[in-house]
Amino acid sequence: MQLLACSGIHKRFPSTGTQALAGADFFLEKGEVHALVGENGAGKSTLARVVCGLLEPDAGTLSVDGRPVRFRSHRDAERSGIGLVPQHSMLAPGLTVAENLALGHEPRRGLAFFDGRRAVYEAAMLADRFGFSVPPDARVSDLGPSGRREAEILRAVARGSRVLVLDEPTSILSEEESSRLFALIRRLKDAGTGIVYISHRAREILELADRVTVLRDGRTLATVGARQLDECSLAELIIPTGACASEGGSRGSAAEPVLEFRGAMTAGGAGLDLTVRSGEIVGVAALEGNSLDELEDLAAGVTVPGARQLFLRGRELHGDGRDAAARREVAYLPTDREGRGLSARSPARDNLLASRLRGYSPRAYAGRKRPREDAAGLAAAFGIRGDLSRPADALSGGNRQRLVAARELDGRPGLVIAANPAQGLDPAARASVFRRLLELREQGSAVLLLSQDPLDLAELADRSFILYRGRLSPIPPEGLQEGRLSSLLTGAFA
Amino acid sequence: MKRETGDLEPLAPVPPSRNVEALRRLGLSAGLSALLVAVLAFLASSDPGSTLAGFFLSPFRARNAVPSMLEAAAPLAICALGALLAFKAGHFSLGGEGQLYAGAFMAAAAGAAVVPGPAGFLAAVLAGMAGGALVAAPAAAGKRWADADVLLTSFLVSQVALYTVDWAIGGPFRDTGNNLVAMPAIPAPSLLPRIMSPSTLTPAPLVALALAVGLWFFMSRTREGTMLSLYGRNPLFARLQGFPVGTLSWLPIVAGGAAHGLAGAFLALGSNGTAVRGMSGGLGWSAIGVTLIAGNEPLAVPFAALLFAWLDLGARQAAIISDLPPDAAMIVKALVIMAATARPLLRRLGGIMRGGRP
Amino acid sequence: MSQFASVLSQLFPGLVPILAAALGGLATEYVGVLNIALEGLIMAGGFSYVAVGSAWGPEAGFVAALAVPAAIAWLQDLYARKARADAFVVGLSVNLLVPGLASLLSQLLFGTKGVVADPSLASARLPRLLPGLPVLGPLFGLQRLSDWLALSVAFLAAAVLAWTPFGLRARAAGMNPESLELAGVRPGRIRGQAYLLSGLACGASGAALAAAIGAWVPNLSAGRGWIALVAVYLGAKRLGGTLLASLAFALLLALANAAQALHSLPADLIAAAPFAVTAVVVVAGAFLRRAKRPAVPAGGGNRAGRPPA
Repeated sequence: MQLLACSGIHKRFPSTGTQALAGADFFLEKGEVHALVGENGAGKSTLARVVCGLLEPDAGTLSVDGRPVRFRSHRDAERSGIGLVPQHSMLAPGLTVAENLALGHEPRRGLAFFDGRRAVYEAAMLADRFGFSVPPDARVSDLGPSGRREAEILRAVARGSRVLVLDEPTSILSEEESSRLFALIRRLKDAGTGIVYISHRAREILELADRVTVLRDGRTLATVGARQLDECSLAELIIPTGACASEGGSRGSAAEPVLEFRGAMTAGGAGLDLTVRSGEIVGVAALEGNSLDELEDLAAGVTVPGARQLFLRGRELHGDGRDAAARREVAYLPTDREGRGLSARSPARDNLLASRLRGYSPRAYAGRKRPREDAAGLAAAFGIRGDLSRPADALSGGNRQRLVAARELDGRPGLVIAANPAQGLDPAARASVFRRLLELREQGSAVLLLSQDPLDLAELADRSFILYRGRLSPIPPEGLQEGRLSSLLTGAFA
Repeated sequence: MKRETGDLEPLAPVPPSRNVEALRRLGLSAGLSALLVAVLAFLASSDPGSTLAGFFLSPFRARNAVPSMLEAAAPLAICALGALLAFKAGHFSLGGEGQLYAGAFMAAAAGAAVVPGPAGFLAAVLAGMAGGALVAAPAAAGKRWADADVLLTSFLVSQVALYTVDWAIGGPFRDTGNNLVAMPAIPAPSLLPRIMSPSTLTPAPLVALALAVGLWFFMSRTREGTMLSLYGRNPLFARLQGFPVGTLSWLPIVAGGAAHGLAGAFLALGSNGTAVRGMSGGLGWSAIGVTLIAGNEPLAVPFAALLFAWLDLGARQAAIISDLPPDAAMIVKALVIMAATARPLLRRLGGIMRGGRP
Repeated sequence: MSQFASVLSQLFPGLVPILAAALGGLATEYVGVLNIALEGLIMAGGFSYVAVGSAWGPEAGFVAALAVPAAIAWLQDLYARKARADAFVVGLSVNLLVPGLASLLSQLLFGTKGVVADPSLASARLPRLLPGLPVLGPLFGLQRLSDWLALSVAFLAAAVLAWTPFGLRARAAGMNPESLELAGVRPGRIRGQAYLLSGLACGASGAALAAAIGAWVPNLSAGRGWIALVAVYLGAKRLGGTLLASLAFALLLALANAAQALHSLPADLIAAAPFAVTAVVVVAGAFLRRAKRPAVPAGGGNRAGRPPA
């Protein structure tokens, strides 16, 4: 009998208008590790949240041990023995590990008092049982990424999990930490726990999983035995690779240096040295947690670099707003499109024109004719559909993505910082953004491409680097061929 | 099993534009106010008839009633426009009360000191605006240089200003010949001219209207206004776009203070003829309510201010001819503000009024 | 020395209302919302004490002084959540609503818009404790019963925040509501309970103020709700810090009063002093914090409890 069965699950998010799940099926046996794979936006996390009772599906059935169940909250799911290790931390950062584990089931002393010592004791026992080293009385915000992940797993198994859902659990772990996690997963599996393992890392999946279910566009594409797969065929299942989009454009010799990191410090390690010249695309790939976001923050001016560490056309950059003029020749496609790329409650048109406001004379702007035409032109060129006079957050998710791309990639920026440019885009939009990046390079822009997906680099970059544990290592061109990608990312190359 | 939705689902109705929404909010606020007044009259007054008459008839029937309502709405609207500018930039300045009072004080001091006539008038207006800006300045500087919480600092400095001006009007600047605790009278030629004698109407309402149109133009027709509202809703975005975030972090606060100071100057240069102790009387707080009812739309501010002015005047009239305390206006204002900011409620009510299902 | 003793004896009655209200402010800060309505809730407590107390005695008055503001605060949050109105704006409206309602009700019940005095409601001073001791004697001696009662409510609120599962959940709600969702606890409910506690503590503050003079006066709280709010911020939104900041304010006020008696300084300027000192401290604190974390986006965040831009 199946431990967990989901069939025909539908889920639509009305606020963004996205149909996240459109008939997903998923079956889990006792004592198996079942990988759930798919592109970004394929619906993996949504399905995980449905299974764990954090979202109620619009349609479809869930059953545990053959009995239909309906979860109204995570607590209901917990009662059926389903635990979740979420992708993004759902711990309260200011509380200790033990307090986080106790939430909702607090041990009491006397009439109504929280028994903190007992909570620490219980957490310590649990950690001991699973061989975890995270100190129960440490504040979560003081822990490193692997300590936090351990705490998340402890919380998930604290209530006796029969099903454990792990959503990208290794995304912030080092190799050594990951292998400890794998050992734990095997131990749980041997004890009969069914494990749903969400990941897009081929090597891990092949190492751990018994079966693999592939989601695409919210539907189940196939469920295959893991032994029938190798890295290539798995990658092909996740993302059907068309021909590489780079249409052979001449990779003209790079010229003048535009952006220079000179020993810039990240929390992860040593100083970074990197130069991006006009007319070239420099790619940096890394897993999450390998300081790629720190590199992004530095390049974009969100964090202040140390003295004499970052230069734009030879001029030192400060990050605190004094370099507003310098910022204007930088186009920035942020990973956090919503938080950094939009002032989402302002009209879409204002968001679209934000970078070129200074180009209008007061008269032309007050007349509104030219700005409206420009906005409509941009919207048409990048396929943005929706009422531009409404707030940007009234647009659908895909249209918001295109809005940011349209604003930043229009015109002739001196420097383009493209962070995970394909994230959240459908194949057509991805192709058009990539085409535009290549055009900008031909026009002489310097492009810094930061991505967690090495395929992006393979398509675009003239020179590529791997950022691993705070250090940059160059990748020779053949390193970006398919099949070698996952070994690159997990540091085997570096 | 549930039927599959998705592509077949009908398109959502087009949401109304901002102007329609502002209009609807104003209409609902006015309707709700009238309803609440009626409820209060029946609940709390021994003579509901005359209470209702006081609210609904007297403010419109008495001679000069409409001009004096306009006159009362003017400073309220000017303050609300100042608060709106700061709010739009994301600065929650709660210092209006002190800024207004300081403006009135400075205007009275300058108006009495400078030669009577247009020069005196101009000096008083400028001094009033400077007074309001001065009280706003510490919060603005704190924001600019230390990223200090404007909500707290603006309120604290405003309290300091309130007490200090109280002391100044009651102490060194007091006109001892006056029964009121007030400053020496500003000479008549320096006061705001009356434009509809014998009513107390001055050009102040016209100034308020012009400022509302000006602010509307600034917010929706200039590049700087667009930058300001983009900044107000996401400062990090504004910084990454290379907007002048340094200036945007302080200037709207100071400008809002100057607007409050101008309103204070008009109070002193109007029927009071000088600064009187306690003359701010909650006007700064009411102005925040006006801003909220107007839904942060400059053109809706004068109408929202008229609504509040009517409530104040009506409550005063009702108190004269019946036993309803004038503070009843505060209850109505508070409930209307609460209702006006509940978005879903507003939409549903609007739907019902259009005859649709909620 | 007698001056010193008089400062000490004024410290306690000055501290209690501020401390109780500050703990009320802290309760909602724990769940991550600013309750701007402390001032109004204090007034609600004071008026309820006098209105109910004059009919059924001070004991009933005290109970009403706790229950009414608690109910108002709970409803205030319920309305903000269910109608998706802004918590900050609703709080501001409560600050307008309560004085208006108090004025209306006092007109209806007592036929006056102003002071409602009932000498039987003035709380008795307890016999002198610790008579011989030099500091504790004047500090705790001859204080009113109502102040002790309000202090115990404040202590109760502090204990609930510090030592109960509720306190833990409230903090979790403020830091990351998802952590509660995963624990099967509805964050909205915790928020409602935090507001309830907030109203309760403010009510105790109002009752202490009204019982000290045995009357309702229209501006009873006289800015104490705001001072309490500032104490919460100065105390870095933590329990210990809030206690210390409240104590510092009470001391400042007691000293100001003593200075006024001594040197006949203008009362208005002395009343302004605590606000001026606090403004300087708030800005200086922000400046030091900014120096520590290098990059902050200029401009206000959009925390719950702030008006929408």
